[in-house]
Amino acid sequence: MRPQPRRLAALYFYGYSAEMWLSAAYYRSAGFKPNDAIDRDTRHRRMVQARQLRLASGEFLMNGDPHPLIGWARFLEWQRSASGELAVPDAQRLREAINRAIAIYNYWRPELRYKVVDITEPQLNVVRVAATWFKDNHEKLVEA
Amino acid sequence: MPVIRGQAEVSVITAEQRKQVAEQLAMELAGKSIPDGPIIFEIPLDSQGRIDVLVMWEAWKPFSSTDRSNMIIEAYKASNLKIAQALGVTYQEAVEQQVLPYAVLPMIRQGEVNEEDVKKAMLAEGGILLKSGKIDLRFPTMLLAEQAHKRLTDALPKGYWSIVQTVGYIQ
Repeated sequence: MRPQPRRLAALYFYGYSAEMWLSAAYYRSAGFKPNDAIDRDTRHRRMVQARQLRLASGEFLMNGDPHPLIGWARFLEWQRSASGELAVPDAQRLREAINRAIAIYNYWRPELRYKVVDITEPQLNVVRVAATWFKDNHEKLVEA
Repeated sequence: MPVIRGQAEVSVITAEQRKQVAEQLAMELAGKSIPDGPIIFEIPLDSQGRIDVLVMWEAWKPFSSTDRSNMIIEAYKASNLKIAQALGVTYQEAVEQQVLPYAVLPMIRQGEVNEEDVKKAMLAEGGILLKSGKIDLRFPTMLLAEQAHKRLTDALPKGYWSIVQTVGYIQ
């Protein structure tokens, strides 16, 4: 889909893939097994909690957007930290996940992906590289 | 031009206040209900027997989310229950954030059932008395709402009860 005129569709799927990898990493770290059903109510309660928790800056971990990619990355970091002190490589990887989520969200957030009619190859490349990072690292984001 | 200086609103929670809230929560869990006490929902979660605990209580207001969760986990420490998530909300937060999307409503014609009996039954199921005098009875899952619905139908067989789901925005 990357060649014209499907770059926007490619962006859409890259972003969604990252959201799935991130939220799955959160649920696995929160003790859910791979085949546990996670219904809408269960997911919603997690998002409510993430929207109550604050960063040191006072900002909420997760904002009210419907697909809060950065919020999932921060919530994952919070969940992993809640279980005990993180090893340096894990802490660095989780921080990197937040940075990659920010990179994707710059172009993928709902008000852009539903309103912008096209994006450039370099912009898509930023999202592709970040999404590929999640593909390569999502298992390492989960608590062992 | 005027200088408008905002003042930070910092709520200071005393150790005494914290202790009192923790004790009230423990009492409620032990089955000793207090007036205006917490409403506690234990939600079965997964194949591992874990539960989500959702505590709705006005006393949470000054406490941070982390404080609320820690106090709930502490109160459950003596039990054998495996808690996946401990979440504390006030009534207003519960409504605004839609954590209790399933409401059980009485659909009773005038004179069919004593209104006070209906209110009492709803309060016993965890209903919240609103300023208007009405009772708001809400649940975090359809299953819990259905179970309450059945108990209410059994207790007041002449009445008719309905379950209404609040639907959030489409994502």
